[in-house]
Amino acid sequence: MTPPGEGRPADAGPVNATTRPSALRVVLSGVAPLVLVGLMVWWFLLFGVNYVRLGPPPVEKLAIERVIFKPQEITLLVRNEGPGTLTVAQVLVNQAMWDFSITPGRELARLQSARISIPFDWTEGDPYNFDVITGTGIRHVRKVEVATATPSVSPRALGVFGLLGVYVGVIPVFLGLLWLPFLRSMPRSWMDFWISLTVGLLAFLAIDTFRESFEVMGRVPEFLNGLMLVALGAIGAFLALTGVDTIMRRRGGSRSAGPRGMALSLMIAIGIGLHNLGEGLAIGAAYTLGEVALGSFLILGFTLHNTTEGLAILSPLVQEKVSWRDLALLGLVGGGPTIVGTWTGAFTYSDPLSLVFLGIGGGAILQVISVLVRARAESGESAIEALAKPRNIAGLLVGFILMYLTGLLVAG
Amino acid sequence: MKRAFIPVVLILALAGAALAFVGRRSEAPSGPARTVVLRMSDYTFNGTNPTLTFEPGERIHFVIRNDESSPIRHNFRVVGLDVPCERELQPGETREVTVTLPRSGEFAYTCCTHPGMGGKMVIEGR
Amino acid sequence: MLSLLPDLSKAQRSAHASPTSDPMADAARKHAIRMLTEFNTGKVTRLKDGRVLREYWIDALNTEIEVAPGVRYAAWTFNGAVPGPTLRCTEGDSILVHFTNKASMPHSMHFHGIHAANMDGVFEQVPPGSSFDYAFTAKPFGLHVYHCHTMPVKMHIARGLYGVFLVDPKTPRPKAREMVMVMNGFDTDLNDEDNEFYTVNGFANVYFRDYPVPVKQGELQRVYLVNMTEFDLLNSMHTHATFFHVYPTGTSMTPTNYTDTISMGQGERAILEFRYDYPGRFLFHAHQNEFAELGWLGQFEVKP
Repeated sequence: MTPPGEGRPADAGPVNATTRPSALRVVLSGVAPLVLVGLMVWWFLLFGVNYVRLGPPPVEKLAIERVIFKPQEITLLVRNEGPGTLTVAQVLVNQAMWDFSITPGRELARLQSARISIPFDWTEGDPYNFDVITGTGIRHVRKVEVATATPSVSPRALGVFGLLGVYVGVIPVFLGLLWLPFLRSMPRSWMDFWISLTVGLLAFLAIDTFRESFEVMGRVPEFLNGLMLVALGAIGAFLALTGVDTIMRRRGGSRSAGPRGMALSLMIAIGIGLHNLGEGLAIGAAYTLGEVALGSFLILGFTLHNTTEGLAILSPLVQEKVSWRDLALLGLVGGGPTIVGTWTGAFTYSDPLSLVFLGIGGGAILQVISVLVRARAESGESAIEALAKPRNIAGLLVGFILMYLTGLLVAG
Repeated sequence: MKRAFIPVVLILALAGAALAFVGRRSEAPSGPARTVVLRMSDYTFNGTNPTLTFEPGERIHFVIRNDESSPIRHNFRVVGLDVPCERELQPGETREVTVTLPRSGEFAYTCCTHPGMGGKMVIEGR
Repeated sequence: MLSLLPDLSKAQRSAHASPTSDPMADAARKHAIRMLTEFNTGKVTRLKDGRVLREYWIDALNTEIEVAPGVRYAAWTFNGAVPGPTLRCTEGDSILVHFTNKASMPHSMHFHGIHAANMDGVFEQVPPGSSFDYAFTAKPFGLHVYHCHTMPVKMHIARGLYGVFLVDPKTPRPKAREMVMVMNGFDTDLNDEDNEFYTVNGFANVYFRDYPVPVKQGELQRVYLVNMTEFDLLNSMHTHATFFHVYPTGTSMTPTNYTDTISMGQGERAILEFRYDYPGRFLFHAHQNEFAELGWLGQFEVKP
C-alpha cells in the first residue's frame, strides 16, 4: 500500500507518458527547422538572387539524351543540364540547318526536357551527328554511329527483343546446366576446384559489370551522380541478398554453416540473373541507340560467354540430388531476367536506370562471391587462407580466364 | 521454393513499371474546332509563309488548298503533331485535317516536296 | 498556390524574346535588307583645289546581334552592325574617316587601297576611348574592303569588324541596279576554329526566307561581292539560271570571266553583272553547299 503523497496512483497509466514529450512536440521540433529552411529558400529565390550576381553567366549544358528514328522523321529528347535557363535556337543534322518542331517550347528551365522533331529522310545504317545550337551560339552535339528505326512497343517488337533475350540469356544458361552429368563424373575432391572456378567466373563478371558502368557514367549528367547510382544498386543488392541468405538459413534450421546445395545454387542463379538483367539492358539499348550492328557474330559471342554462367550455377549441386524442376527453375532465374533487360533497353532505355541495374548486378555477384568463399573456408581458416590452396587458386584462374577468352568474342 | 520467386516477382514489377512509362500519353482537352485555311501557291503558304499563333490545347481544323493559279503539286506536313505527308495535292485540290494542339510548343509546317516552303506554328503559354 | 512560388524561369532569364517577336532578329533582318542597296557617300564638301572631300564617322562598338534566328552573338562592330557601313566615293576624292573606339578592346581601321604608312591602321592602334582620323586619297578605283587590324587579326575580323569600301571610277559604270553582298561566317561558340553559321550581309538565310530579293526581268544587275569569311579558306557564290560577267576587284572596266560560279579567298572581291531572262524564283548561294546549308542561301524573285 503506497503512502499518500508518495509514488503514483495505480491507475496513472504508463510511466513514460509524463517523462517523454508528446507526439505533437516531436513532430513540431522536426518540422520547424524544415519550415525555416523552406522560408529561406523562398526568400532567396524571390529577392536574394538579385544581391548575388557573381561573374559571367554560368556555362550552358544541353544533353541530347535520346535519338529516336521514325519514318522520315528524327526526334531528339534533350535536357537542360546546366545551372541556368537556355533557349534552343537552331538544330543541325550533319552540319545543315533544318526545320524542326519543339515541345513544350524553346526556353528550357534548369533540368527541363524538350522533344525536338525534325522532318528528315534518314538512311538506315548511316551515321548521323546532331548539333543543337542554343541562343548563346554554343553547340551541343550528339553522334549516332548507326541509324536504326527505333522500335515502338508492338507485339512483333516485343517478340523480337524477347527472343533476343532468350537466345542470349536463357538458352546459354540452360546449356551450361547440361554439364551436370560431366561434373558428377569427376572425383569428389574436385568440388573445391569447381567452386573456385565459379568464384573466378563471378569475379570476372563483377569487375566487368563495374567497368561497363563507368562507360555509362560518362554519359549521365553530373548532377545525377552516376557513381552513387551504381553504389546504391550495388550496396542495396548486396544487403538484400545477405538478408535473404540469413532468412533462408534460419528457416532451414542450420545457423553455422552457410547455404549448401540447392540453396547456394539458387543464390548464385539470382546473382547471375541480376547480372544478366543489366546485360540484356545493354544489348537492347546498344541496338536502339545505334551503337552496334547486331550481327550474328555478336550474338554468338554473348551466347558462349553466358554458357559458362550455367556452369557456375551448377557447382554446389555436384554432390546433391537435383530434380529437373529444380534445374529448370535455376535456368529461368539465371537467364530469364535477360528478357526483361532487353525489353527495357529497347523500349525505355535510360542511362540512369541502366546504372542502377548494373549496380544491382554487380552487388549481387559480390554477395554470392562472399558466400562461396566463406563456404570454402574450413573451420578456423580465414577466407584468404582458403583461397590460397593450390586447387582453389587453379580453379579461380581457370574460371577467370575462361570468361576472359569467351569475352573476347563479344567485341565492343 | 517460394522464396526464389520473390526476386523474380520484383524484377517483373520493375519491368511493368518501366513499360508503363512507354505507353503514357497526356490527356488533351476537346472543344469546338477552329478552321484555319492555308493556301499553297507559288512555293508559299498564304503568300508570306506566316507564323501562326494558337491557344494551348485548341482543336484546329486545317484546310489546305493547292491554289489552281499555279500548276505545281504540293504537300503538307506538320512534324511533331502527327500530321504526316500524304499524297500530293494537284492544283485545285484540298486536304482537311483536324489536330488537337498540345499545351505549348513550336511546330514547323512544311511542304514535303519544296524546300523553304513553310512556316511556324506557335502555341503560346505553358 | 503556384503563384506564391517565385517564377524560377524569370529569376534566371537573360534577354529573351517570345517566339513571335524577336526585336534583335528583326533588327538584323532590317539591316541585311537595307545593306543590300545602301551606300554611304559621306558628308561632301569642296576643298580649295576643287577636289571633293568626303567625311565619314565610324565608331567601334560592342554590339550583341542576332546572326541566325534565335542565335545571339557578342559582336564587335563598326557602327553597330555586321557588316559595317558601305563607304562609297569616287577615285581621286579626298577621304577623311573619323574613327572613334567606343568598344572595350583596342581597334583600328585598315583600308585596302593605296595610302601612306601611318594611315594603314596597323602600327597606329586606337585604344578604347580614343579617336583617329584616317586621311588619304581614294585610289585605285574598284571594290575594296576595310577591316580592323588589331592582333589577333583573325579574331577581330571574325567578331565582325569589316565593311565595304567602294571607289567608283571617274567615268561611272553603266547604269544598273546595284547590290552589296558581303559573304561572312560567324563562330558563335567562339572556339576560334570554325564557323557555325554562314551568311551574306549578316543574317542567316535572310534572302531565302525573310526577303527574297526582288529583281526586274531583263534589267542589268550589278553585285558588289566581297568575301570576309574567317576560318574557311574559300567561299563562293553561284547564281541559278543566269551567268555573270566578272570584274575581279573591280579595278578594270573589262570583265575577265563569264560564269555562274565564282570562288574567293578571304579579302577577295569582285563585281558581277548579270540579267535574268526568265521570271520566277532563282536561288543564289555558296557552291560550298555546306555553307549554303548553314545560312548562305538566298533567292532572287524575278518579275517582269
